[in-house]
Amino acid sequence: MANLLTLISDKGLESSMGFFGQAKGHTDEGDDEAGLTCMISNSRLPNNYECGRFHLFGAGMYVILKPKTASIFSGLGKHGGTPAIAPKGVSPSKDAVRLMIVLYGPKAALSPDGTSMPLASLPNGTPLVLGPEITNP
Amino acid sequence: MAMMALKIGAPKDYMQLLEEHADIVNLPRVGVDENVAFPAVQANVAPAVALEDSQGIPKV
Amino acid sequence: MVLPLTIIIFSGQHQNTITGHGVWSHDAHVVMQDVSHIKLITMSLLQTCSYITNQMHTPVTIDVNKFMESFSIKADGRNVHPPSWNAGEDDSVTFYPTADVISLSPLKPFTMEDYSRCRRVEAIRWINLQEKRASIIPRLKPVTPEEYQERRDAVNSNSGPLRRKGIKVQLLWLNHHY
Repeated sequence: MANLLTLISDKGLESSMGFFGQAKGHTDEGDDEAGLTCMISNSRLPNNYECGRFHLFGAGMYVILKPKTASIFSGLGKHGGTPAIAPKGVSPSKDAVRLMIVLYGPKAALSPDGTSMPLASLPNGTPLVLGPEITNP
Repeated sequence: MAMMALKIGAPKDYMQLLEEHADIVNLPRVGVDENVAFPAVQANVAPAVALEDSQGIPKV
Repeated sequence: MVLPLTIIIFSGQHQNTITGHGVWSHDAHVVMQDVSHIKLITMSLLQTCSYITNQMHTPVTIDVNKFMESFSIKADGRNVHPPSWNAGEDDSVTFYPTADVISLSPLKPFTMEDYSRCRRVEAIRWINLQEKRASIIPRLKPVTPEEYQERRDAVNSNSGPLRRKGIKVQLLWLNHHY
């Protein structure tokens, strides 16, 4: 899933990232409790830009999102980020992008008690879907 | 890269539990065969903002 | 008398149309390595076979390792097949890594009963891990200990997804008066 890149400078992340960009933070309720999220910063920013921060509210800490940084945390704890910021008086370059690759473990994948698996195609284009009765003996 | 980071930071017994779990529930190993923890990926893209327009995280 | 039973039969010449729905068999090579793909598909096929043979009146044993070993792909210039399963004394599982088709040492048979038992034991371990990890995650609405116990109870219950014993397929007969 990728959110659309806007070319309009914005105050925060909400217009770019919607729910995931709220200034008050959010939790990823679909994540498995035993799983973890790994967020890798792959931002393309000029050297003198502030890279943006990533806040973990429960821990009372933030991570500076330097490119090629990997942060590992539980998505179930409240978290949120701030955008990359151009230096004072500088209009943000249209190429300056804050890019985060987020790898996570949804409950539906890690604890697949109730999910179905579209395994293969049958003749006539009918999909063969394995329900939890099959995948969860 | 994510699996390398996880292996460095996570306890060994947690990694072992993840690996056994992935095999037993037939978790699709997306990306590389070693990936037992992250079956889903999302990319978040946002433009940089001007300093004058930026706002911080409100008090929670 | 009307027998309300639906049977889907594919027969005769049909165009081999691949479904427009994303499916793991056809599409997964885009997101995973070949060895991961063969493991995923082979395990799914095994689960499907077991689901079907469980519907027979006669109990059927499937040798999981023989089943897995019968599938192989070429990877790194060798023929490799999915790893073999071995149940430990405590129903934990160890795996013998993806090996060359010529096996070095035969393991004791691993059946779907072993798989089912080991799976239940692992499911309890996973729920315990969820509860332990959740205890350090600050959440507004944490999962309660009672809910975790309900999850454990669901794993240990004898109802739910098809269990081997006491499975009956009921045919309903309707009488029509003419």
